Amino acid sequence: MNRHLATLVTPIWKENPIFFHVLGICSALAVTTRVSNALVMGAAVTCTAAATGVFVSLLRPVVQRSVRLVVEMLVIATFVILFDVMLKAFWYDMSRQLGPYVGLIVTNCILLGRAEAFALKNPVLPSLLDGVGSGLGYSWVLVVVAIFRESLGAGTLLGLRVLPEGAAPAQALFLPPGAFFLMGLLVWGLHAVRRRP
Amino acid sequence: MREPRVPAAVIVGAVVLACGALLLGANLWLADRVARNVRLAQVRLLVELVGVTGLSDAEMERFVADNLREEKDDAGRVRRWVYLRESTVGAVLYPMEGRGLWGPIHGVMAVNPELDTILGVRISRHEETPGLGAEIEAAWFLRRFEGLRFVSDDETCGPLELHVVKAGTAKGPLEVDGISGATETIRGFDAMLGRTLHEVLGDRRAGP
Amino acid sequence: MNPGDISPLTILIAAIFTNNILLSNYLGMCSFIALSRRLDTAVGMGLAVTFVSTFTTALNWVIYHRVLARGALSFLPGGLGDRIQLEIFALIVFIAVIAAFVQVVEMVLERFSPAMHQALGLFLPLITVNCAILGVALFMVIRGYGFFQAVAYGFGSGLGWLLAVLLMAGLRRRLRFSTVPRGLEGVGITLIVTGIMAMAFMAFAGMVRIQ
Repeated sequence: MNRHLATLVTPIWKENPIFFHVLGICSALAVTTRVSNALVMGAAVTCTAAATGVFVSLLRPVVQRSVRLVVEMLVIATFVILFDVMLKAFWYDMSRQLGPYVGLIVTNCILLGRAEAFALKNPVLPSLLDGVGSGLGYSWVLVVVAIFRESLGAGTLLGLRVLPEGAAPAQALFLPPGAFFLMGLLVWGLHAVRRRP
Repeated sequence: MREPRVPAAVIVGAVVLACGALLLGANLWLADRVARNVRLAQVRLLVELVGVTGLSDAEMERFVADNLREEKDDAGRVRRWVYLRESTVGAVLYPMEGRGLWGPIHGVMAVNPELDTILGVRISRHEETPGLGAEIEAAWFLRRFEGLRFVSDDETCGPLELHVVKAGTAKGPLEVDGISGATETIRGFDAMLGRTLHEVLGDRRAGP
Repeated sequence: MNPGDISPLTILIAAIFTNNILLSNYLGMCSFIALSRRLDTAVGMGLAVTFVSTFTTALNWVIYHRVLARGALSFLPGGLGDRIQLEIFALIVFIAVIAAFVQVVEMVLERFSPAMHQALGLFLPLITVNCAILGVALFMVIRGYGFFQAVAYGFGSGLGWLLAVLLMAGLRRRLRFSTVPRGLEGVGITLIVTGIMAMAFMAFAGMVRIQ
């Protein structure tokens, strides 16, 4: 059991996909102007990573090495499209805010990377846990970035006001340069924290 | 890892079929819902613009079908909607299309039956920067256009001078304050507004 | 005004400078950070991205508008074309076209131009998961571009990415000789420099009027 717990927790902190492997950084910058967007995007990646992990692991005994990439991409794309259609059907406003970035999860290296590095070599349960763990590791970074950007850039959190009405919000955080700066500073902060014994 | 015996083509074929079936199933199940969401987004905008509130989604759809007359141009695109309130015209709604900093902007403008005053403006689609350009869809900004008369008193169809200008520099009744930090978006918004008003004035000259 | 009125040239310039796919849409970051470490890899990858993005955008446009889009198959008899809905497969088809194109190019290069294959071969497989290329295909659909507009957008986005990665590789070469706080080394400082670059590119905003 402890081993399973480790599989789940390792990608959340020790080998965080965004900070440790520098994977999936595109969407970490693009959808983090609102905490709600970051939460949905995180859920999308967690669900698709878990489902991909399970199916790639299930197909492991019958898939040959030569075609494994094709199969992995097919499985990933199918789940991403499923999530996209569900979002369009049940939460249309959110789907419009995320725009093409849900579809772009297909090229999010976290999914293909975890499928190649983990699910292809491990049984179903650990693959599921690894997928969920990677998804969660990705999600919390997204949410942290979004908390900074929404609270300081718009003065709100999940749409609720947190800065006093008169305070001028730092709108620059919404623009691309602000996003890059913030992400760079976060990477710095995290490295500093991790290096401490 | 041991190499499985099943031919690769069979496996890929099976996975393709399974994925295809799954997606087609999902499409069959959800396509109508998605189409309805797309329609509802437009319907909600129109209902809001003619000032009707408190309707459910289904009631809104029926309201638009019963009370708004669609007029199309030669190419089959909607040119305007005429809102009939108890058999008299209550408002005329014009679709707007323009370009912002990052992508297209779509919206609707409602004008009074005399075609000389803006009743309201709504934005349905844009890709502008959140917190800056994206504020063009915010109520605090769009409220500035409500009740704006764009035809001067002495001339029936006066020169068109309604403009959205740099934030804080609006002078006179025909200039509207823009949004600070969103110059390019506002430029596109202003051009879009101008084109729509041009069309409205054309209709006004053509008479009822 | 509908998007069909914008000239492809305007879209090309906008895609390189004002709406740079990396600096304004954040696409292609992973390989941007990994490959800007050296100038020669940056050039190789940039050229490969430009080439693949131009041609796959053209291919994807044709496939999307002639096969997948709603009503594209309405010439089929008996209203069959209106009942088939293939739009949902767009994403899979786009990624498959990109992957297949990369594969074919790799094979052709290997056969006819070993030198080119040596130079670009390493980067071609990486392109399949470069989100800039898939992003171009998705934006082309959302913005309703025509064929020539789409090709201009694909070409421009590739050039824009090439420009950004080249600049960054040049900057990082200098950075190697400067003292950077330890936690910022590598990814951190690259992100911050990218931010400064994005700020500089924002000054281009007035260059193209897409009205």
